[in-house]
Amino acid sequence: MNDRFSWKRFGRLVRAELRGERRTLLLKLGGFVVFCMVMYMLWNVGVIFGFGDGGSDGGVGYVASRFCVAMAMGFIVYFNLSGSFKRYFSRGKAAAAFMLPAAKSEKFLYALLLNLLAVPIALIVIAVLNDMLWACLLGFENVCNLLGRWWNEKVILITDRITGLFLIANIVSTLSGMVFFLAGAVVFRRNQFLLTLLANFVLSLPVFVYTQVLFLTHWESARDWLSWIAGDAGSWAILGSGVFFTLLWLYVAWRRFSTLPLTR
Amino acid sequence: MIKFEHVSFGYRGGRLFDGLDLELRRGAIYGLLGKNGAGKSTLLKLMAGLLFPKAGGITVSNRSPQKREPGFLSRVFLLPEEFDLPRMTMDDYARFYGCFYPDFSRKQLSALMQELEVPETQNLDRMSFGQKKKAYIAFAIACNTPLLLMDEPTNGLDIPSKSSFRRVIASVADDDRTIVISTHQVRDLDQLIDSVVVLDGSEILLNATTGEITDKLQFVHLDENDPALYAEQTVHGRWGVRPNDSGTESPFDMELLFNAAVANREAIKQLFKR
Repeated sequence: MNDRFSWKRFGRLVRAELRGERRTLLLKLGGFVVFCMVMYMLWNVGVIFGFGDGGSDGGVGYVASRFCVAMAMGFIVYFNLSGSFKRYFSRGKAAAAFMLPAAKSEKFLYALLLNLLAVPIALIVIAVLNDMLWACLLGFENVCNLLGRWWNEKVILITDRITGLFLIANIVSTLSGMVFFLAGAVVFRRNQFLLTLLANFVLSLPVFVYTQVLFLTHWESARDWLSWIAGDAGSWAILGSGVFFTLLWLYVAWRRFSTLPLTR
Repeated sequence: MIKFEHVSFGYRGGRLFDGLDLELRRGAIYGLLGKNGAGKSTLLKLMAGLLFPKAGGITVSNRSPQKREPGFLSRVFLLPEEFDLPRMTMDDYARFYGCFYPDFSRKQLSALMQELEVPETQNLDRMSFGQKKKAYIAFAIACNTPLLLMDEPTNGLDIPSKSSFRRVIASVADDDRTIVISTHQVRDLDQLIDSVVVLDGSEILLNATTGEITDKLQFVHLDENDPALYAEQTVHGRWGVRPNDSGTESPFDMELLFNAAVANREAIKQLFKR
């Protein structure tokens, strides 16, 4: 038997694990669908019943509903990432999960693809479809059109030099944050979400403090730094650190997972 | 088949095994006996590669369990004491998980489910603990792995189910399959096992076949003043264990053996010294 990675066995693993997790996944995604519908409906009651008109961009109600959905989506993504390796710490499931005849790399890749890619993509698709549906029902401009228009008009709060590089750098840096939660899911034995959040806070505290002090004491340097970070060089720096931390947290997660003993 | 060499292991609370040596041969049914907390489950988890020794080495079929390679995992099945099964029928479970084991037999699974009186169409997560355990036992056996590790398999089973379990295990035992059953309910393994490992005080007190045991020990009715390694008063008189100096065969009583081993450690160790 092939003791290394096998795509055929990986396929079987995905099939088996998805079948076992089908209900939980559907409940999560279904819950998000319901939340999206409720948020859009509640925030736009006035428009629905004809008491108000938010204009083509939907007004405050529509922006607030998008904000709530985005917040919920972020929470679900990170919370879900924190549970990526939950079964390996569960009293009833851990032994079977460890003893399933698949390579460690296959089990790790499954957790990675499901929680880092499949679930966030599914949530984004649900949120966008929900937005398009409500935009169509309420007569607003949907989020895709809105973003497209902003992109073309180069509307941005911090800088007018929004580039592909800037966007990619921020996406990669978000990804590194997500992988940090994935690493937390395997490093901590219990309360993974809260402990990862705490670790995140502790690790980023020095940067926060330094930035605050810089703004208070050396305002001009801080302003230069801000304009540097928003420029091309800053984007490259964000991209570089994003790639570095993504790989670092991935390595930490893999190292811990590959040597993880049964804990309960 | 299984070899522990100078294995040391401990949890955070302290050291459980220190320099443990143990060798289990292929094709036997081992009864792993010990008091609560003696380390029976830990020993099984070390064999399965779920826990890693702090020192020493473990080999199972010339492989290192802690690497958890698919080639090793497909040849070992561990039935834990506590487990959750996914929300699906046994038919689905066999379809999705059976394919990971090269010698898995769907036909055998059906026969075992029937023997153990577990409905195949019922959802696994809706079964009672005993039913669930029987279903998982059936799946574990149907995987036909050369090494089957069972941690307290009879816990939660009713009396007829315990008999069925013994029947089923006896029927699948062969020269290529090693079965290690850990239990503190020694009566459940009567007439089933062919080798005994007694674990006490973090060490192996005894590792012998039932033949060797009955060669060296007698399980007999004793008179009031008869010397014995261990004796206990029952309603049928005084029963005990004593060295078999006369070479007479007696029916093997696992509970008496276990109590004798725990009560008279040095004498038992001396008798079975290899």
